Amino acid sequence: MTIAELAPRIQAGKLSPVELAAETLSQIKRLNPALNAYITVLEEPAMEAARRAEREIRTGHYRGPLHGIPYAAKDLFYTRGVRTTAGSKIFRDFVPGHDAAAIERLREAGAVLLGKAGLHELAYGITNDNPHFGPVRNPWDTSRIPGGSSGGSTAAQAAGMCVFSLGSDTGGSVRIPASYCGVVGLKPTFGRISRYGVFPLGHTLDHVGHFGNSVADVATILGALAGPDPRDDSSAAEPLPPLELPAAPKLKGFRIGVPRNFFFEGLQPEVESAVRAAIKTLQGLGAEAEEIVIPDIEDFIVISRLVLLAEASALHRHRLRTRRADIGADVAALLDQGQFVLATDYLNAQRRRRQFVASLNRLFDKVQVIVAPTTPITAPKIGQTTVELAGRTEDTRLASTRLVRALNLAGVPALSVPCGFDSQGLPIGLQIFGRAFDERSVLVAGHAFEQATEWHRRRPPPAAAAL
Amino acid sequence: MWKEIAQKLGMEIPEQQMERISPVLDRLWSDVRRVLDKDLSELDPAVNFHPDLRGEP
Repeated sequence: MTIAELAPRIQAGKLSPVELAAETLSQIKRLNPALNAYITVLEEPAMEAARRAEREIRTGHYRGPLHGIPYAAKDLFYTRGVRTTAGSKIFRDFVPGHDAAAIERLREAGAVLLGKAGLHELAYGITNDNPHFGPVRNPWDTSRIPGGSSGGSTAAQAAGMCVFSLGSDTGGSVRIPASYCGVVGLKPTFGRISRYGVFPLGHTLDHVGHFGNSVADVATILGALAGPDPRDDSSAAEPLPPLELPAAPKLKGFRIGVPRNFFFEGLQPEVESAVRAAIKTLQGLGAEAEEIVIPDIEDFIVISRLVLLAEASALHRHRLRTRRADIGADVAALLDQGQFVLATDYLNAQRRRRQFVASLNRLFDKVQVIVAPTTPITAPKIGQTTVELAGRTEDTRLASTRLVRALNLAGVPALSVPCGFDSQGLPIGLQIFGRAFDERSVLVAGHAFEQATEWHRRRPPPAAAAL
Repeated sequence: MWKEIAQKLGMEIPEQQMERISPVLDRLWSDVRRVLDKDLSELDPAVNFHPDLRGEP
């Protein structure tokens, strides 16, 4: 169910937040043993929050569309009095004394926190095959990864173990799991949502993002989460664009850019056909598609990787030296690699970053959004380290991040929307990105696509999720 | 080369790990040289990052 379907019934007193929370907690009890989407389930606090919401609504104090709606938070958002592990053995028993800004805002909106969702260790990876808390499994096929690092959130989302969820995205960690799990995921503009109280990874790349069952839902959630926060030095004061989306959207006069270079190279064939079909759907709604070239995009993939290696290694340097045995092999390997990045290279990478933003801005003078696949493949198997694409063997992590990570460097808003399924029944994601702070164009295009298709309504078969 | 650098700088990276990451570092180094060994003197240093390049022409 979507927030758009649930909220009016809650507001009208036709649906009880207590019953909704209880039903969702039952779903967690049924499916979490198989999927391992949650690290911590907050059963009693959630029921108490739901009872509070019900009392408030019954007495005429309706807070808005998230009031009484149950959600999951990636377990790197600080929650006061509730352990927050960051998926790490080092923080296994860490209990924050305050809430993250996003958690504060959702509490003010009356949303009901169900629990803390699993993630790749320290949010540094895309598999969610976590050595300390076990692998999170993809509800569409439990032998496969959900993507990451926010894979617990998307596994919970796809399996109906929450109505919406919070994630974070440093190199694709919202969009990759959205694509692999067949849910809608939004990485808003850098600075749009406060990162206060969120475990960092790459200071100039980290974004808070979120997931929903429709584009309209992620727009609603963005409205609750966005806004300046003096506690986060990246926080931006730019006003939020209008987020109401038209009931019967038309895209007449809307210009979409279709990259001629890079984004359609080395794809699983079914991914390419689904995304090409999605572009045709957008054109059928009136959008004008224009082929574009994104200059030097391969350079910016390298630069984004370099920036993240350096920032993450700087952040975790002390932990790597003192707690190496408590860090998983894949994460330790990345942290070790980052120690070799030269300061001059890091700074020159940041200089070139501005070229990327400027070249994207020139493109956004011609088109409102750019559309591309989110990931070149569908969800790989748990433990699969390489993929074969167009006759080449590619590292699974690098393939999964290939089409998304540069957009963290640019800081622009980017959405992943389900746009089809491959022959094995695995979801495919369409990525839509736009100019900084123009979330509206991204959401309008995604919403219009959704209104014309049914992909976002598909859910994993219960048998697959419960295996 | 990477092993020597790690030792000289006291990075305390286990031998097996060095063997694992050295080929990755070789490829990364080659990629980084390709994209950064250019004249960047005309580009302002990016002390803070803002995605809208505020204040720039």
